[in-house]
Amino acid sequence: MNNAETAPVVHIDDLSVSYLAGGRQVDVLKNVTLRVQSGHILGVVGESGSGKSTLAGTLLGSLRSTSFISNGSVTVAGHDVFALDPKALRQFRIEHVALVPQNAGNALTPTMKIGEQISEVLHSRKGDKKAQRARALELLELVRLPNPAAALDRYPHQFSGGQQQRIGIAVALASDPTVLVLDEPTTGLDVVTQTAVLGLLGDLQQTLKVSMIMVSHDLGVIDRMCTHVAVLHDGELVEFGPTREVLASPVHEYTRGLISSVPRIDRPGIPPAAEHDTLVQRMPPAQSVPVLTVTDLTIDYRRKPTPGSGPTVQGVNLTVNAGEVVALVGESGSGKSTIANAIAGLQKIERGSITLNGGDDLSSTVAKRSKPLRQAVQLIFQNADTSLNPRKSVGAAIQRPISLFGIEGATAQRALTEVHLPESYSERLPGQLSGGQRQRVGIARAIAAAPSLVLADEIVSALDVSVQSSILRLVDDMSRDKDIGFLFITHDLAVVRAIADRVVVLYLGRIVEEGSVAEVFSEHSHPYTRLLLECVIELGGDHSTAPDGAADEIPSAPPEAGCAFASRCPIVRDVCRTETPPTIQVSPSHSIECHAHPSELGGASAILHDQRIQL
Amino acid sequence: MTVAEASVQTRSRAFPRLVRSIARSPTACVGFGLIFLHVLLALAAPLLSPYDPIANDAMATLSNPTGAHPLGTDALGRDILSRTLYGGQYALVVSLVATTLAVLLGSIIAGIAAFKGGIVDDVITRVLDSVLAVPAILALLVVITIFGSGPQIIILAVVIVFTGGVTRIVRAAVMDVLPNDYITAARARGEGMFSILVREVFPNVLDIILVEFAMRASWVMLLISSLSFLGFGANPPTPDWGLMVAENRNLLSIAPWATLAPIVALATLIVGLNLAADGLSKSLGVDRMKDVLG
Repeated sequence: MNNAETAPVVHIDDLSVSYLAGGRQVDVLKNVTLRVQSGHILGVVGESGSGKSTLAGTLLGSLRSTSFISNGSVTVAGHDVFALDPKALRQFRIEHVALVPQNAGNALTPTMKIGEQISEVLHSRKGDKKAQRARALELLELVRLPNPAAALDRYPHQFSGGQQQRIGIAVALASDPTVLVLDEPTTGLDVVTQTAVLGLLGDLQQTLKVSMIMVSHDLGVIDRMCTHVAVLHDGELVEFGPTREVLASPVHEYTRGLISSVPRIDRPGIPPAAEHDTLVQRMPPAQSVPVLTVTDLTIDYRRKPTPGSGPTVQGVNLTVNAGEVVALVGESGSGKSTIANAIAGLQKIERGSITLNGGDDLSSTVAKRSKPLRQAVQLIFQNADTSLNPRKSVGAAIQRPISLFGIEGATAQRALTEVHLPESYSERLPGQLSGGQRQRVGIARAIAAAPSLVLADEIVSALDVSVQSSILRLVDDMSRDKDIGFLFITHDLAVVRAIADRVVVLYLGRIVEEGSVAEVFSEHSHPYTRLLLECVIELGGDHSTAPDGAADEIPSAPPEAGCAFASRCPIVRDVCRTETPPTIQVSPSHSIECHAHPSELGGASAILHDQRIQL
Repeated sequence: MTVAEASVQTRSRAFPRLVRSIARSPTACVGFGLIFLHVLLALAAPLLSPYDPIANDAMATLSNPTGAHPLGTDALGRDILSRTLYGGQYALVVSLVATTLAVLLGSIIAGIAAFKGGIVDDVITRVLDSVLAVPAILALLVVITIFGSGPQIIILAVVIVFTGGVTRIVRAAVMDVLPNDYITAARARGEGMFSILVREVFPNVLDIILVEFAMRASWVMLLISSLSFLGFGANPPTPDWGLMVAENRNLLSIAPWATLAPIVALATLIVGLNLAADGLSKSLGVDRMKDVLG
């Protein structure tokens, strides 16, 4: 950037934000000093609770009602934000700053049409409906929303998550802000959609020359997008500088730890969680004794057949061996959780069979299953906040499966020790634990039942990287020590690379590829797997090759016939739309469902190592 | 046992917090103070009353407050103070029993409806909606006309009339709790409906049920007094506030306290219940506006 000598648009000077707890002053931010030059993109990273959202809020002159500025000042575009009176603050927000919230779906008013919501922000064109509409259309074109003219008269729920995020960006850009604050703009989006939205933001920055402050916990996103990065830890700014410099040679030990905890696709193994840890290489179990066998599983949510669409899940075959971690990968809506629910007996199946330990039938719902079968299959959930009853102590939550199934010799205390939590925690309520600790309790509850199969649904996607690593280590330990088979559901390919032994890639309820983790991540893969891999934003990767987001939208329903991926596939041919693709057996353990010739599936993948599979 | 210890600890931590939060709000304190005072007076009625509440005294009819009759007497020479004190007993027992039954039954039905969903839920809500569509006082009169009067019948009538409203609000609260993963975990363990409702669901909607109880109690109290006033509730010579107002209102200019005393008693108790319900909902973080609007 050559405009570094221009005056900074954002001046944060020795800023401290505090609140009072029981008469004591607690600092959320401690003496933070930052500068953002015009046209720069500043990334703010840190774990949850580090104060990064509070920092972003101060730029808009917004604090939580109990917090106050205890020291310092924030100056944005020449205005001392916290010295403005309410009227001037309103004018300042109209003219100079805008916020793109984390979850645009929640930030848009559900009962207002998109056109009206954008018009609401267009203060300079007040009263002129025609001009407002024209500008709204222009904005929707700018954020590349498909069919913008029709979108103006639609309601937010009629759009997908990625589209809602684009609309959120359009609303933020409506008043031509000097500074755009983005609070985790792509968290919660699928990788492909994330890539498209980030690409859009990058282009907008280039054309509009707006300065951005981007809050994220994802170092890959920061690396791809930001010119500068600020690392926050416990409210303190531990490191600040140009992104490449900071990420390549971090000075502070906290930054080093943060970077080393990020799982990478190009570096197999579970990254260290704490400073003295090392990379743990996961070893698949020596013998393959199947605990779960799913054959030709079909699940249909439709009440009656709808022309043009097929069942939600069709013809899924998969096996999980004892002590093995099998990853089920796919975008949201690919049927991952539906399959897990069917195995857990919470979802009726249409056709197919599910067997446990090579004999016991699991195709009936949970009400009809025998006690030992219910004990053998346990669940761990994504959201640790809702997976524990807030009114029940940790001990009571873990004790319940132990007493219900009559597990001999098991106690809640022992289960807590196994997940590396102190025994005294059994008397605590979930609200008194951190997110990572709650997730450990969730694991303890599942393990306490002595299961042979655990269904882990996105269990690390809501956690900070270092906590994520420690939970992955725990899963690794549990699978080896107790010979438990894990069906590990995730959309994060880097996590898959770290923990999984085998991978099953799912698209719209159909398996497109299956194989060992090394095989699936190798050069030879299904076009969909390749799309997913290309969209992963790696720390320190070459971001110039990122694919454009032409094919970022997943169809709402699978097609009636042919390959489900046909509508987005780059190498699609006529046969794909009419006939179910055949299985290409690349190796005994690696299979791809595709009509293409095997040689077409070996397209070069920039981020992957150069290891060709013999055909 | 460890589990028992843990759950005791859980409760012992939540309860003082609630008490402290109520103690900090002056209006809630007034509310609970009024209720406490009424309960105390009702319990101590046999000790405090100078006369038998139903004993006539032809020599001292319609007397104004004197040393012998602090609040005077009515047309039959019955002591107003004694009748007001005993009237509190009747009002409190009947309305609290009726409210408790209505809230209990309503919560159980709500749990079943929300948990089962589908057609069970549809049938339950439609039936209760049709009960709710009939004005409360009219429905009460119908029940009393069919079954006759007496405290048991009044309790039955109140349960029939109020269960629907309770069900509707608790059902909405249960629906909020059901999608949580801990419920899914319990379902996957194969726990039965009642086990899940009792262990996982009701502890999380207890705050809403408590506020609902306090609110309903004041409505029930007023309704029961209205019934007595209309002549469908307590039979003479039962000392009942509504009945006392009905008996003495024509003589308001001669013996004002015979009418005023039960009115003041009823008003303070209802104000107390309302303030307590407000304080409780604020302390428990239940949005009463949402409840009222359904």
